[in-house]
Order: sequence, then structure tokens, then C-alpha cells
Amino acid sequence: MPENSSPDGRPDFSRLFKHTDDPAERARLFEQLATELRCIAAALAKSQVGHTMQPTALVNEAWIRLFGGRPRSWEDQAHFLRSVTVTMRHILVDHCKRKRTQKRDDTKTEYFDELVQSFERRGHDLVALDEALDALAVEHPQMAYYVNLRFFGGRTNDEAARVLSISGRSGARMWSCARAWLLQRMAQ
Amino acid sequence: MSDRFRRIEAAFHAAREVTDPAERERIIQAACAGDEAMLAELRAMLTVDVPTGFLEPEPPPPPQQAPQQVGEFELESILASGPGGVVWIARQPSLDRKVAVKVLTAGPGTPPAQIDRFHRESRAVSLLTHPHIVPVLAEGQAGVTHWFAMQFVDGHSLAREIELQRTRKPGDPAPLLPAFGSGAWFAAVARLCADAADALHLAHGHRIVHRDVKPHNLLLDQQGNVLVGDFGIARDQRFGELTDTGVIIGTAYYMSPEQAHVASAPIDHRTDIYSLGVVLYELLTLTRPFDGTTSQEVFDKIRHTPPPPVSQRNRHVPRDLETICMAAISRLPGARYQSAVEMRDDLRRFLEHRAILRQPPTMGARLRQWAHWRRRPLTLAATALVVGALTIFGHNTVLAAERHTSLEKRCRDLLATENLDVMSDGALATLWADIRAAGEPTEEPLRRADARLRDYRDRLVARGQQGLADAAKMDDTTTRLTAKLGAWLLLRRAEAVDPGAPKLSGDSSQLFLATIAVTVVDDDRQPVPATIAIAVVDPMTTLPRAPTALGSAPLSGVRLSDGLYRIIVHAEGYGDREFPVALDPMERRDLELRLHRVDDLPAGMKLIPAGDLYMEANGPPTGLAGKVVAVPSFWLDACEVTVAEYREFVRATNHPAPPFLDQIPATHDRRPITQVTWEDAVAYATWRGKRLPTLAEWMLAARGPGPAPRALPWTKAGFFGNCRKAYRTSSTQEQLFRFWLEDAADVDADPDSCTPEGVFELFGNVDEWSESVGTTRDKGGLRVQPQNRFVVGEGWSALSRDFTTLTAIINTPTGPTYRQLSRGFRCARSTTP
Repeated sequence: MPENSSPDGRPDFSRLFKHTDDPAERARLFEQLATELRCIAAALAKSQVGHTMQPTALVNEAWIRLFGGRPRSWEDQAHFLRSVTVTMRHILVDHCKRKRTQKRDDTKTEYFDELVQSFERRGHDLVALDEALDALAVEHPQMAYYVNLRFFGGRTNDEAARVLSISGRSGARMWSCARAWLLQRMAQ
Repeated sequence: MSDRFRRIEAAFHAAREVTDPAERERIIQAACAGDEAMLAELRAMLTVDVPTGFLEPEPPPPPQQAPQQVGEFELESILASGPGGVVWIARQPSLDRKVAVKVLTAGPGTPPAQIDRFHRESRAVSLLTHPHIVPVLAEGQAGVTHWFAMQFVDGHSLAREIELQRTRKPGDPAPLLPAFGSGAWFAAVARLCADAADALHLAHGHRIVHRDVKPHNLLLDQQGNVLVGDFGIARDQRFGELTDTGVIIGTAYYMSPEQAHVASAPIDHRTDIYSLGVVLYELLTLTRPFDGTTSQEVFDKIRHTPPPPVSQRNRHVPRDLETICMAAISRLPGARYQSAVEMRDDLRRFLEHRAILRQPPTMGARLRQWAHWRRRPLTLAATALVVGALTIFGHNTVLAAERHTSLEKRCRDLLATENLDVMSDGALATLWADIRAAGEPTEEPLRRADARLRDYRDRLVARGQQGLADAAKMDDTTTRLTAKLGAWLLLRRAEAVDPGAPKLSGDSSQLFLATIAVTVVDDDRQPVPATIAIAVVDPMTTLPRAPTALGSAPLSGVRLSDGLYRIIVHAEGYGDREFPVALDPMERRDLELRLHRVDDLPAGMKLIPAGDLYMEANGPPTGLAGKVVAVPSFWLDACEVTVAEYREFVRATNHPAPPFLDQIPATHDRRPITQVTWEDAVAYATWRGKRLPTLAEWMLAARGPGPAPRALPWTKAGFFGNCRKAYRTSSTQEQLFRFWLEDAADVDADPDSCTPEGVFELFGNVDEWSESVGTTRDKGGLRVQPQNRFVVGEGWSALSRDFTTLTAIINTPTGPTYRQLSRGFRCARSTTP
């Protein structure tokens, strides 16, 4: 049994919660998480229940599948959300870019197609947003991260604020500032 | 975070606080300190139009992995979903019944507080067994799924009911309550709010505050019974505060000012009383006291405006219900009902036709409230009003502290105070008394302070006297009243500041006297020599007291306090005539009393002999209840005034005709006239040399004298006159008019309706205006409602019911437009005015 697998043969994602400074190790864990998310997405796309394509649903599902809803410390939950939303963002933006260059993606993609479309239907340009978010991350990493949680993680203000250990009111202020800044940046 | 971005963020939030573009620009210019790129960025941030929904998630979906079953409950379909969880309709096989199950699927980042809150709801409710609280049947948890089962209420929420009452689209279910605006509606509304208050009282007794009372959370079953549900954000004071302080929860429209952080008061059970008051308001008017599209807008309104009185939105609302509602939505918790049970009891008193305990705000209280809302007083008078109100009703808490400071320092403080209006009169008075007690002021600060106080007092007096003089010139009653009261408060303050000063303000009641002028004219409006007397009408007995002679017409400058009077005119060739006049405080009225020659006055009238009227204590809430009143003899029209009689009056006097008068065919000449206002009825009666009967007179005519009066109605058990056996609905006045043509009867058509004295249809055909001013009984006595009149009897459009007690006395507004197709009148006349 590989060391990073749980008894039922699935990767043991508790490793994700262990902070590691080794970039190679981190990249490997993120890759695993991305693979897992894609699998979950594929399953969701097929399942009868999964009729709404929402990051909230995907993240919640990932949480249940990967950790069985076992009680976790808040740090674990926060770490999970940090990891999973960053991964989500990469998957989605990659997916979007690939679609634009007409390249085929050999993984199961219906779910992400839907998800990307659901953003685009609401007028969100994911690639431009990704660039603007990178710029914001230079200026104010916490704010960029907050947007990640809200937008790619589908978290509410209270949830996102909690992950960042800030008050709900600070979160709401951050949200209004971030939206205005990102919009003016994307309009440049 | 970069320093540059920190400045951007701070300037962005600061600039957003202000609306003035120039001020915004100033803020961001200052923040950028010449950094042009940053300035451009900030300008773009502030002007960019953030589309709604930008970066926002779509509305939360139902949980992906919806469990099919929780506990023994089989989930069937989703009833509602929200951030607090999803409510399912489910089946409980063991008992073969429908239940409602609330399910929360915890995801990552679901704050533990939310889960706690979820279980707190079921825990809180399971403590409460009450017929008007949705009971919790079971609760549990499986993995990430938390759930609890409640009784399924077959019906819909009050929010839906309000929607249905407002507009009903095809296919919508039938409303569960009677039609909006009907008497039955008001009764149903009072009952359900009383029940909800009773339920909340039980919760409050367990130290549970609901905190989210709103129409969505009040469910109606098929019988129209209310059940309080969704204790989702309830705060159980025993379990401690679980939500973050500063987090606003609940729906803005129904939130109390303290909950909306508008008023800084701790949140306690009185927040529920406020919210229930808003629900009552919405039920009475189908509008909310504070509306808006965003919660910010709603909060702004709560902050800056007093709630519009219920009667302004729907003037048919019974006065007592309005009083209860407005009391419940007082801005300050201390001004509301102090417990839900007090509110419940007043609602029940209303339902039982008993006097409620809560008093409607007095004129003074309304003015104080008005001043309170006007944070920036608009006029000199208004400033004085605010200062005065603070002075009279505020606390002189500064006093004790100030004694500790040396007199000299206090004098210097006084001299440093730019505007003495901001200081309490108690503080000024004490200081002045202390200066005087110190002997002849010689030291510099004391002398100057003494001079300043003297000057201040003199200016107060001058302002007050000027205010009184200005007020006398104002035409509008309310403005005049405000100005006068403001001036009076200035004088009061002058007296308070200088306790040794002579009383300048005088008796305040003098300020509020009304002034009348009386002329007496004939049909051609030529003056008629006449002597005039006036009698106060006792609002309790509805009978006039002994008259006082005023002199000969014309009269002017007669000062009277507010109330109902009868002016008795004696003129050669006309005999004695009586004119009712209702006066508001401070009103100025020029009365032109018209005399019309009438031969054989008592034609068509029956003499009702003097007699003692006995009224039951549990009778209708008038001043008569439980009393024995000696009613002098009087004449009363045998019949209600007919169409033909009223036509004659309209032709002779050019008095405005009621709607439809010209469409009434000649075959209906002897039908009772309707659609007349109280003023119309008085104009007709006085033209005929008569007046309207008072409530006591009508009761005596209907019931006869003595301790064993005849039952009302005296015709047939269960019926009276031509009142209907079934409702006919009509949406338009035209349709109602057609019903009137069919259903109203000739005024003397029904011999069964005749009393032994020969008076027809006291209790049927049309209900009738009385002369008497509306009153309500109260703990402290009788309260007069000067804008209302008692209406007596029942009309053709009323449902025939078994009237074992007399409920057919209505307190009705008398506005110039208040007319109904089932309302007429008859005249009376005193035998010895």
C-alpha cells in the first residue's frame, strides 16, 4: 500500500494539511488534489443530483468524499479550503484557456465546461480575472485570497472571513474594495 | 500588503462614506499626495459601476448529496431553502404522517457557530410546548447531516397570506383569513397577533428571544390559526451569545432599531415585540412602516423617520388597534409594551370590545416625538421645543457632579460655553443660585457669569413672547400649535433658569383654547337678530350640560377649550335651534349658523318620554357602559330621512349632492338616503330645524327605559329588518349602488321594525349617524376621539346575525369624504333645549 494512501486505497489527503516548505512536495500534493477534484467533478456531472454546476457544490463534495465529514480541527478546514480553492482556480482558468485555443482536454470535462460557462454566462472573464487577481496578490495577498475563497470556493463572506481569521465586517469591506479594484484593473 | 495599497484601501472606504463628489475628490487627492497613477486608480474604483452579482456566487443550490432519509423520516420534496438549512417535506412511516424536516449539511468552512445555531433552534423549541408554536418532534445528526423534524403545518405563511390578500393570481390558493379591510379581517389579525404574542411570551419566559419574527416565520393552518416557527436565530440567554456581536441577522423590514444597530440599546425580548408590531402594521395596512430595496435604505429610514401612523395608510383601522400597533413599534424599547403578554392582553381587550390599557400618544407626546425625529430643528420654535423637552423630561444628572467643582471654575465653564441652550436648565439654575448665594458678585468670572445668565434669561423671555405673538398670526392649526408650544417652553425655561423670576408662562391650558366667532343668518344669508347660548356636551353621557348664555349674535372672540358643544340659537320667528360644533385645541372657527323657517316642527316625529337608560357594564366600549343615565324627553323622526326629503334639501340649499342621487328613480323616493357624511347629516338636520340624536337618545328610543330594557333587536330572533341572509360581494361602488336599489327598503315598509313609540327601522335598513363624539373606555377613565362619531344600528348590507348584545355601535371617522351606501340618518329635536 503506497504510503500516501488511506486503507480504502484513496490518497490520504491528511498530508495536505501538513505544511510543507518543499515546493516539489507541494506541487505533487496539489496535482493529486486536482486529479481528485476532476474525478469528483466527473462523478457529479453523471449523478442525477448534481444538476447545478457550482463551486460550492464541488468543494463541499470534495470535503465529504475526501474526509468523510469527520470532525477536523478548524486549521485543517482552513487549510483544506486554501488548497482546494487555489486548485479550483488553476483548473478552471486552465480549462478556459484550453478551450479558447481549441485544445482538447482528455480528462472528463463536462463539469468544468458547465462551470466555466456558468461564470461566462454571468459575464465573468476568467482569464482576465485570473490576471487581475495575480496583480492584486502582489499588492494585498490576503485580499486576493479572500476573493479566491468567495469566487472559486463558493464560500460565503462569513466562511471566507473565518478562514482568514478576520471579522465578517472586515470581510465585507474587503469584498467591496476588491470588487472595485479588480473591475478597474480588468477595464484597463 | 503594500503601503500604497493600504492607502488606496483606506481612501476608498473613506471616500465611499461621503456622497458629495467634491468632498470625495478632496479625500482621494489628499490620500494620493501627488501620485497621479494612484489617483487615476482610485477615481476608477469609485466611479466603476460594479455590476450586481459580479464575482458573487449564484444562489445557494440545494445540497448535492441530499440524504434520502434522516432518522425514520423519508425526505420527499424541498419546501424551502435558505442559509440556515433546507426544509423538506417528509413522511414519518411509523405514524403515517407528513412532517417537515430541516436539514443542514455541513460543508468545509461551515462555521461551528452555524451548526450550534441549528441545534439551538431545536433545543430552544423543544422547551416550548404551546398551541401556537410549531412543535419539534425529533432531532439528530448523521455524519455531516444535521436535522430536526417539526410538525407539518398544512397551510401557508403569513407572508404568502399577505401576498394573496394583496393580489390573487389565477391558480393561487384561497386566502386563509377573511377579506382584507373587513371587520372580520381586523378581528382575525388581532387574534392571530394575540396568539403569536402569547407564544412569544412563553419563549421569553424561558429566556429565549426569537429575534426573527416576520410574516415568513408565522405559519397559518387551514383554520387560520397562527403557529410561530423558525427559531433559527433565537438567542437563548441561558446558552449564551453565539452569534458574533455586530453580525446583523434577521430581515431588515422587521428588525427593531436596536437590532439594526440604529439605536444603541441591548437586544432583549422587546425586540420581538417590535417585530410583531411591524407584522401587525403590515396586516393592518398591507404596507410596511419602513420599506426599501436594500437593507441600508431600510435602516436609513428607521434611523431618520418616525413610522407613519397606521391611519395614514389605512384610515379604516380601528383606533385601538392602531394604538396597540404604534405602541409596539416605538423606537425605544422602554416605550413599547414591556412584555408580550401586555400586548396580548390589549389585543384581547380589543377583541372583547373592552377598553385597551395603552393610551394613544397625547398631543404633547407626539410633538416631543416629532422633535426627537427632527434631529436638526428647523425653526427657532422647534429648537426651543427640543431644548424644552430635554429640560422638562431629561435627567439632571449633571447636578451632583457639578457641585464638586469650584464655583469659580463653573462660572468659567459657563462663559466658555458658546450656546447655553445645550445646558440643562437645572444646571444653569443651580449655578445661578450658587452665584447669588455667594453674595454680591464682585469677582470677575462670577460677575460676568451672572450678567450672562441674566442676559440669557431676558433673551429667552423675549424669544418666547415673540414666538407667542408670531404663533397667533399662523393659520394652520398644527404649525400654530407647534409654534405656541415652542414659545411656551422657552418661557418655562426662563422660569426654570431663574427660579426667582415671576411666572411668565401662565397657565398652559390657556394656550390651547379654541376661538370661535358666531353669526346667525337666514336663507338669504342676511343677519338675523338672535341670542346665543352654549352647552358643553358630556362625552360620557352624550348629553349636553346646562347651557350658558353668550349674548347676542354676532359674536366673536369666544374662547373655548376643545370638545363637543351645542350652540343654542333663539331667534324671533324661528324658535330654538341647536347646532353641534366640535372644536380642536387652538382652532379658530367662524361659524355661520343658517336658520330656515319650518312650519309644524314635530311633523313626522315621535315623542320619546324622558327615562332612565340602563346600560350593561359589559356593553359596547362607550361612556355609557355600566351607567344609568337620565335622558330628557325629545322628539325623534319616526323614519330615516328619505331620498325625497334629502333631494328637497339639496335643491333648496345647493348643498353638494351625494353620489348617485341623480340616478335614483322616483320609485325609490321613500328609500333611506345614504352616502351622506356626518357634516351633510348635520347640515340637513339644522336646515330642518332639528339636530342629530345622541347615542344615549338613540339607545333609549331603541330599548326603552328601566333596568329591564327590551332586547335588541326586538323584531325576530336571529333576524332584523332587511339585513341580509348571505353576503353579496361587490368590488365597485356602482355595483353596491345596484344592491342598494334592490336591498334597501322603504323607510316605513316593515311594521315589525316599529317600536311601541312608533319609530321604524332603528335597527335595520341603514345604520345611522349619531351626534355623539367617539369615545373609548380606559383604565384612567374615558377618552374622547374627537374625529370619530358613533354610528348606531345596522344596515341592509350587514349580515343578519343573532345580536344578543349590542355590537352595532361603531366608532367611525367623520372626514368630509367618509360616506357609505349603508349609512343614513334620522333627526331629533329637544323638547326643551
